[in-house]
Amino acid sequence: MPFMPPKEYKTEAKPIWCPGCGDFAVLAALYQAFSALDIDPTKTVIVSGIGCSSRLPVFVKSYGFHTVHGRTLPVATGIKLANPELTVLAMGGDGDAFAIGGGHIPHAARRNVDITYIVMDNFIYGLTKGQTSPTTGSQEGTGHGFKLTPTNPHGQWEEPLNPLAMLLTYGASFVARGYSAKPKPLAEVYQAAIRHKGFSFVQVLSPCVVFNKTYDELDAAIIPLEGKHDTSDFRAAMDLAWDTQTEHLGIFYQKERPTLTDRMAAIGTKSNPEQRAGDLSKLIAKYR
Amino acid sequence: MDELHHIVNDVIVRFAGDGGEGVITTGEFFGLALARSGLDIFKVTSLPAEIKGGPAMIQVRVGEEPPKSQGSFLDILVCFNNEVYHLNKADLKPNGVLIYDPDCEIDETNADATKIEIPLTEIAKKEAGGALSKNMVALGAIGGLLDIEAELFEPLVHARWGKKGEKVIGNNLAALRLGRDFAQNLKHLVPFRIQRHPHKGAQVIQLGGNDAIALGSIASGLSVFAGYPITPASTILEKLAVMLPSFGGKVMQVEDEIAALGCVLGASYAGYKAATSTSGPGVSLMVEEIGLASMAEIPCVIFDAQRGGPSTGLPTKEEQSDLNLAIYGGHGDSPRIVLAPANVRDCFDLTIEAFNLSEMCQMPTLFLTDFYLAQAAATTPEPDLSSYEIINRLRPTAEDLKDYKRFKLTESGVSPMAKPYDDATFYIATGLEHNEIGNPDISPAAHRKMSDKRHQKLQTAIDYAEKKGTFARQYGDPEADIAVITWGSTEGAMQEAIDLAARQDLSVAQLHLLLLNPLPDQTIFEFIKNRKRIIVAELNYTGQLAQRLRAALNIQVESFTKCTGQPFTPYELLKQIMFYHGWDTGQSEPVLSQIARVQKQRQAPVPAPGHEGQDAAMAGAVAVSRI
Repeated sequence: MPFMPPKEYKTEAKPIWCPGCGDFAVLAALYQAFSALDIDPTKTVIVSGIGCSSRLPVFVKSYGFHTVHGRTLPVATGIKLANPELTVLAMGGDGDAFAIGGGHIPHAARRNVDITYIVMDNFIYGLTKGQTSPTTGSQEGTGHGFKLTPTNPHGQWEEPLNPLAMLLTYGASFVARGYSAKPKPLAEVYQAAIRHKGFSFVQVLSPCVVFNKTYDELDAAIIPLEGKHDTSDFRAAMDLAWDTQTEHLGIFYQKERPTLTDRMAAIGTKSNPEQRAGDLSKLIAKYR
Repeated sequence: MDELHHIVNDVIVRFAGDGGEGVITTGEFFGLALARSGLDIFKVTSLPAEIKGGPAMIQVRVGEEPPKSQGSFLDILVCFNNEVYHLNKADLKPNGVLIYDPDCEIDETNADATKIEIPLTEIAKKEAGGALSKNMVALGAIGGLLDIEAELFEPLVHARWGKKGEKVIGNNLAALRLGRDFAQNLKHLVPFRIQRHPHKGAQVIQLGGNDAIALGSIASGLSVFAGYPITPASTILEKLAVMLPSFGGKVMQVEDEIAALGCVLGASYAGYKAATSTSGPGVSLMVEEIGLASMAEIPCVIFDAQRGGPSTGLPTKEEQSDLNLAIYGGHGDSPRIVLAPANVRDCFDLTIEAFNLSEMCQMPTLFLTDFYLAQAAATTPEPDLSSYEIINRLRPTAEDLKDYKRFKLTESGVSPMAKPYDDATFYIATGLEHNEIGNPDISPAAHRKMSDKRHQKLQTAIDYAEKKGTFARQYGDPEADIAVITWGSTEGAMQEAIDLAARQDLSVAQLHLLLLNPLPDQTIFEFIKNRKRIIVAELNYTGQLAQRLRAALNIQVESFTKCTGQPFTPYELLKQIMFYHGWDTGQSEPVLSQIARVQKQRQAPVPAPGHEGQDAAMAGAVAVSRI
């Protein structure tokens, strides 16, 4: 495939996001990463759910599947299962991932399906205009982006989810965090995530400028890991994840282990050699 | 030698016991042995909801011709204990044969039955290694009573328990022999023997409904199967988990039904045939993704083994009540194909058509099997795989790829579907309304045109069904004033009822629909011409197909429904046919009570075993007994 500079991964469709939305930078960093990795658009699929951020596949030259709310991971798993040669990315927001889609994350992680899951976290529901999300900060001061929302006008006392601690607990083999306001390291994290063999999870802090503008709060909270952390140290990764007043940026944890693709290939070779040639008649004859 | 003897060529035997008594194995072995000796069998089981314990039964109908249904009343009832006796006693024909353990307290219900007491538990405990062998004592006993060769049963013991060691095999073989020995002295009490008749022509296999679906899926070129366990569909997932990897496919148990269909849509989007299996509760969870498949035009097959509903309902009982869900489930107008098999053979043949239609029309296909078919097994000729047409989705040509439009508007509505990796293009599949390229477009023109496109494809299904001519079947007297319309597994019981009615000169015409959406309207209009009454018989409370026919075709049909968690019997359908013909009870009762008895099905001079010139394989098979 001839080299494609980042801008060639752009489609003609114009993003629907509001000016200043973090998702523009998330998208730009993705073009950078695709270009750096020589991603072939005809051999790549981006799967998304529902929400502002889930519109992303339309803006990238590649195959894409804009699914229904919360079902990104099952669909992405099916694609990778069917054709392991494809590069598969799953995308969505914090509501799509952690509220309606939360039940699928542990299973994608423990199966170690070889896909890259990028969650654009803005601590709010943007597309539906400002309702509380599972990561909206609480009035007790935990998390980021606390606010009273149209659906929680009397208080937001629910503890925000801790996505990285959750993914580490679920057994994700690659866990990282990026920030839309720091696009260069974000593109690097993407590259590492896509290269990683197994389920890779990237939380991108990507503020909503209309319903929950958190740039100042996040700018004050971020600390890049920048090689000061051993990514094979699970306990250290967990400690960093639970340092909730600080938003550490970079790769928290990475460990290779057999992927879903490896397991399926092993079942294939274990299957009955007499039938491997696909002789259905022989199989049916067993019912005589 | 020239005496007339009483030979039955259609016999219904039920084995009833507790789940933990191994009663199902008794019935399975009985059916398998007779199938291998050249008879056709049809077998249904009823399991308790409990994992072990609780009443269970297996009913085997044996015939020279393939039985059309489970039948109505029992010729032979074998009871393992008192509880199951009382649960099953009313189903035995008045002059049937009752074989029972002394634990059973036989009452007046079976006053006229031939009663044969066999100490199943005692024999097993005393001489065959323990109560676990009771089921093989029963099998040996029925073999002895009906003169079925011991050699037919013994290989089944070796095949089932071969890996468990000599002791287990020894105990079971002893149980078989002891049951047989005990019964030898009583066999003169049984007034009939089963006619046996070697199969002619094609090799015969014995297939379960869910096995047939699994094999049919493989024949269709299934690549990816994802599912979540649920009664009575789980065995489809289990069988494919064993078999599909040998054919290069992949099977995965996932976290729920939503994930299952999600995986299937992903795999199909990637260009591979994919399917899932579930029951009503699972389909309820899948409806949003069924809409997505319809909107994004992604082929997929969803096997729904229906059970009693709503909610958790009756997980181990029969019902045909997911038709509305299959046709209408979900928001918006989301066209899909709905098919329903009537018998085990359809579970193979129609599965192939389910994939064909789904691929051809690029839309979801729902396949409504049911509890009855899921657990039934029947003999059927071995399918000739070369005789099936396998249809794959339309792929873009080189010309199409130059300016590729995934949702290109075409005359049929079907547009070429690109395959990631293989086709040098790209597109976005989306649940949003979209334009021809696939980009979101919610303009009035886009929604109207794309709605047209999605619905036009249904005509492709109708055209295919009409060309094939296998998606609707007619039975009975084509000229009859009274017509019935059926769907799903009720076809066979209705055909039998029609045969029984014909003997009373009562004529009925039957139209059986395998394609339920889109409806083959021309076939239906043609069928109902000049009828006086049209009745839709189905197993649900509200008459879902009747409502569909009234609403979609504006035709007047009557509804005859049964909602007890049980299948129709030919007997009750016959009764209904008599009613439609204006018979009063004075007229119908004598006929019905005669039909409910063991019939002399054939009287023929039969050579004694070992008679010169007799086919050796038949020796003993048609052993004689005086009426």
